[in-house]
Amino acid sequence: MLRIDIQLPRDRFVLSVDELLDTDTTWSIMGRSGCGKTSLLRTIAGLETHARGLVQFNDEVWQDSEKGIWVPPEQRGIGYIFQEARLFPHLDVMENLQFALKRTRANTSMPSLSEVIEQLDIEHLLGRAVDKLSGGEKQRVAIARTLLSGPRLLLMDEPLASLDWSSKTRILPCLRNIHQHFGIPVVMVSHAREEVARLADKLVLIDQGQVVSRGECRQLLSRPGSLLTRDDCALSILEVQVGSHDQEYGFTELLFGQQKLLVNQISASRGADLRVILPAQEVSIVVEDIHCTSVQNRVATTIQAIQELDSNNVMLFMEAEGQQLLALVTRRAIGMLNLAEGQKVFAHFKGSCLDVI
Amino acid sequence: MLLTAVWVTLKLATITTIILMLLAIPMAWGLANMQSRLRPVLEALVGLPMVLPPTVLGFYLLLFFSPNHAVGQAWLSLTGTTLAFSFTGLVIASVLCSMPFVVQPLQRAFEQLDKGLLEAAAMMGAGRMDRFFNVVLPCTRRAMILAACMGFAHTIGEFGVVLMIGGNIPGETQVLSIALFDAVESQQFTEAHQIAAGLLVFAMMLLITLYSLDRKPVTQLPLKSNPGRS
Repeated sequence: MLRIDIQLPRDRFVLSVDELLDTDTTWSIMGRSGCGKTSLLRTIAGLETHARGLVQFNDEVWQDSEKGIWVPPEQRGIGYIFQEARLFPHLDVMENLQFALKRTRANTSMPSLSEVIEQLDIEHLLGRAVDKLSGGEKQRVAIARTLLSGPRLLLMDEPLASLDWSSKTRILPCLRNIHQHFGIPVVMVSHAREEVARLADKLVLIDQGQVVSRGECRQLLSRPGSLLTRDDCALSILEVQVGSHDQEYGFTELLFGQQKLLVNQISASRGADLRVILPAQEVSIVVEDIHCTSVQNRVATTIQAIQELDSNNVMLFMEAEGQQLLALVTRRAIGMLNLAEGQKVFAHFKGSCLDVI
Repeated sequence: MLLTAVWVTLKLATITTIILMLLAIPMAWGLANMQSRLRPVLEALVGLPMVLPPTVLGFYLLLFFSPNHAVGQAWLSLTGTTLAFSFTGLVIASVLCSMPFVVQPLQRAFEQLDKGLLEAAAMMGAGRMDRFFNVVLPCTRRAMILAACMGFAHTIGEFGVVLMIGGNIPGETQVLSIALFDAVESQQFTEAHQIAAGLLVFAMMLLITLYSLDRKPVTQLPLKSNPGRS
């Protein structure tokens, strides 16, 4: 359990957050750039010396300004993955890892050196100087180093922001594994919905230094009226179960309530619970039940809300199998199809645009 | 006599450099991280010997060292000797004179040090001292060497202050720069040539070493990451 009740004056507003985060899931703090989300993370870590208030992790008080309690960052047992790798330039990769190992905090769930090296696939980098690494390699070493310091709580500040797409796709599974594999509670900061959808279970949304909403990622990311559904990056997360694999055509059937989704073949075994990310941009709306299309995924839905984003675009909020789906369509399409709330329509999307996590 | 002056000079420069490094590292760290409005005043105090004629500094030191002054008197009652015209007095004067040449490169290096590295170290459990000795010092070792060399070289090159407070006692306070002055005064040109040329070559060699230290070693181009892996 992480208890935060803090105030931190910023240039244009006061960051003021009063939240209780349970630490058995991965939390994400979201918001536009400059909304104070990084400051919040730094306050938890003890790196913002001007913050006032209370920070408490389980029964340990890390900061209580009223009682004059202040535990310095190095004694909080936190692992912090920064946006940049921040590897020590005077040490090579292995020495960077050893820096963390030497100072490791007594921790029963400590991952071993070999385990971390394997998880992050950095064995071949161990003897290298840090300035000879690519951005993605540096960040992987930084993550390994943080894990080896034996953190009881892991904070991540946009760990993928400075990386290119191919590095991201390699590191994302590693990050997702941290919570599952090592059992360390994670609080991350991000502004990218894609990342949050993949990594976090719950989220806190901040605007101008204030928490505007909190809850399950799946619900908040596709709620009408939310900050997160006002542009073309909006997405929905669907909970599915693995059905059968089709070897001949190389696809996997996912059970979505009573309906089915088809995606390129995945390795997960039958019956496994998975989540898929469906970008709102990729969904098109068909009024009638058409079968003669190359698009393989067709989901029967009911329109719940129609929200205009700007003069051209409209976000459709739809319900199917008790879950939320978003579709970004043009205003012209709404008019031509005569779409209205409560209407039953079919959402079409290609299997290849689904991201299975 | 020449060898004695070489010995006194090297002894003075070495002791001064050691004391300087011990004083300047915490001073430079303090200045680099100081938020207070006092900072420019302290910086000016440290930098003063760079612009002040050394004779001015020498003059005031001479006053302080005199047994008529509280400082000189305290020293006299403590050790039974006077500070003026002594090797110890010379060390104190040299430390003051060479201070800016040591503090300033260190302060620049500390200011330019990526504070993010210190935060990263703290998050791995490294306390203040641990961070200072295992991150700050190794990351600024180039500046450390530079600062020590500057302090050493400047002490050897100091003349005015030494002349004012050291007198010219062979084996005690007669350093090379004074010995050269002495040799010229007494028209011993062979010795003057030896000292002058010696100091010139030494200074040149030291500066060449310093400037080659200042360049980063030529590194290979970063290895391209293996395209098959990503």
